[in-house]
Amino acid sequence: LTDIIKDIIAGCIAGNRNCQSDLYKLFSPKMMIVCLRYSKNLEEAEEILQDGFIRVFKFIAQFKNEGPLEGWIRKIMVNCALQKLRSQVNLRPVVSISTAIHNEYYEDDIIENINGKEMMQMVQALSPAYRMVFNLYYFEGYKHREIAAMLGIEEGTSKSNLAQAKKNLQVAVKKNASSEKKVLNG
Amino acid sequence: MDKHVHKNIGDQFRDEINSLSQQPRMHIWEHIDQQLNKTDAVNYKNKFTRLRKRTSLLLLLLAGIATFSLINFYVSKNKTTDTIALANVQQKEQRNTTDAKKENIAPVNLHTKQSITAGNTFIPAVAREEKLNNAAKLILERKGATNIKITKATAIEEPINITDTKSINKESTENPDAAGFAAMSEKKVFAEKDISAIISIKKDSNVITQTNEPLQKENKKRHSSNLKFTLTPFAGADYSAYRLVNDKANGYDDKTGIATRERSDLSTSLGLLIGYRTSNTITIQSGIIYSSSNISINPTKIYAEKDNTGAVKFRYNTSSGYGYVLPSFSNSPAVGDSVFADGANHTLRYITIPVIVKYKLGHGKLTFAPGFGITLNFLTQATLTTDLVNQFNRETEVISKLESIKKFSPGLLFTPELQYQLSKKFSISAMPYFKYSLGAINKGNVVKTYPYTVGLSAGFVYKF
Repeated sequence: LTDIIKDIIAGCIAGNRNCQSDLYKLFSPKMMIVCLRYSKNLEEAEEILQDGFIRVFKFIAQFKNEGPLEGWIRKIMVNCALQKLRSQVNLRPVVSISTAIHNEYYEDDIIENINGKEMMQMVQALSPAYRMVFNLYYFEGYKHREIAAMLGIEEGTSKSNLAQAKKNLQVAVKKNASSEKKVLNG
Repeated sequence: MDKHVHKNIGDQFRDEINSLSQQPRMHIWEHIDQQLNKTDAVNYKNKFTRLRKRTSLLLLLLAGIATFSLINFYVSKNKTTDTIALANVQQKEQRNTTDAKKENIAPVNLHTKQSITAGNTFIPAVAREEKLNNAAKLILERKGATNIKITKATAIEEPINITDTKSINKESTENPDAAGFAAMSEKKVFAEKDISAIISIKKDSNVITQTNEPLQKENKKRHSSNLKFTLTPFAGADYSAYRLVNDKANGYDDKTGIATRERSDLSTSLGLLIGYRTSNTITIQSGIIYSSSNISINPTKIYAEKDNTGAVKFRYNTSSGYGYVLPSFSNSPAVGDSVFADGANHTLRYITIPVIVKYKLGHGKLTFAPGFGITLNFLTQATLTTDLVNQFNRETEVISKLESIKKFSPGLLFTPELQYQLSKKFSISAMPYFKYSLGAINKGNVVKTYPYTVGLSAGFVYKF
């Protein structure tokens, strides 16, 4: 950790509002993306971000300088998102594993035409259960067993949700590509 | 496979999205700022409340210690004064007897604060040093009279401290006429509490006699107050609650969930206290109290995870500890599986050993004795009974082993006791009480729990 961040952390522990503001300014753009990934729209993401930062300031004294602060804050944001999701939806499987789609490949040049913001919208368009599993698996790097434990679902459910999420994304990507073609042809 | 088809869609999405960043809207920080202000205000308030509680307890404790010390000091001082006075009186008695023999007058035998004696008979001790001298002088001045009646005399408050015995002896021998002693007694001898006393001095027998009914009553009281020990069986109903503190970082807020789910029910306490009266006002009590606290828990979903042995079971979290359960209809769950717990009853049973110092206020039949002490609480039983439910089954499970709950915890106790005396040996008492745990009753649970109890008990007091 740099000295500046150490000073900011010390200030936050002491309850210094300027330091808290600095910490927020430093990490909020990155964390906003994390929250957007886990939510269906901007308002929900902002709500998670707000709750997350309040928890960050509450528990910052317990941060041990063993790893990056960003990772620690990200974990809190993910937990906030998880908690919000738990209160909102049932994470039971939507499809059984036998019906899960395993076609994970598609053509690179299709996706190359899609920018990050469009991808974010596609992720947000996923159902909450799929979105959560997709995020935890690809962005946070959790295994299916861990995801199952975190979400209170079976491992198979996690796998099927991930497969279905990817299928939905593929459909969205193709749809996006075809609509662009139409625009170009038209 | 097509040469263009290789990269996982998830990885591509991750790479693209991770490169993004977006500034949140301005009002988010304003909301956070407002929230932090509120949290600060609550924290300050809590800190102040905690400080106030601790200060009050400390003051109470200090006041108790100060009162105890002060009373002990006065008791020991009085004992010393009495001893000195008794020694002086005995010396004087000897001299008096010698002088009386020489001059053929009635000897005055002075005893403790309750009595002046002549021969073997007591006169009420009614005088401070100076007044006693006058009284003795007058008695001796009545030399030659056959009977003296004192219709009014007094009891004294303070011990007699006779230091100048010479003056009594000297005056008693030099002024043998004791006319007007009764009047003198009425006027000069201090009269804080009237008592009827009759003193007769018989010249021939050289005996001063007296009868003093109030004093006899006083003696009876003193006799009854010689009962140093008390035995108090009692039963009470109380309401237990607790203060929860999150015991986990990383944003888990189990405190709120537990606080919302759990609800304290009316609990019971039974006990037997033995008291020892160290002085007229101070009593030290100890004994044994058995208490049973009940908590109702609202329906909730519980999740399977590995227990300490590595087996996967459903974990049930409560404010005091957590336990594992495995219903027969789902006896091999995977980590993360859930089951619905349709309400639960949580029972905690403790054996408590208190040490209480009580200070008695008031005289007569009704007395008030606020007490303050420490408690040593030993957990005897912690159980959780719940119904686990799935679509087709319902099964009642009893978790008798709760993890993370401490077997021992110390606490504080405050009890303002009200006692009504039925007879010399029996009283009834009403004891409201407040118990507070000095530390968390658990360790390693999702929350730290600091319980407190408010209750009312009633019991009998037997003095012996």
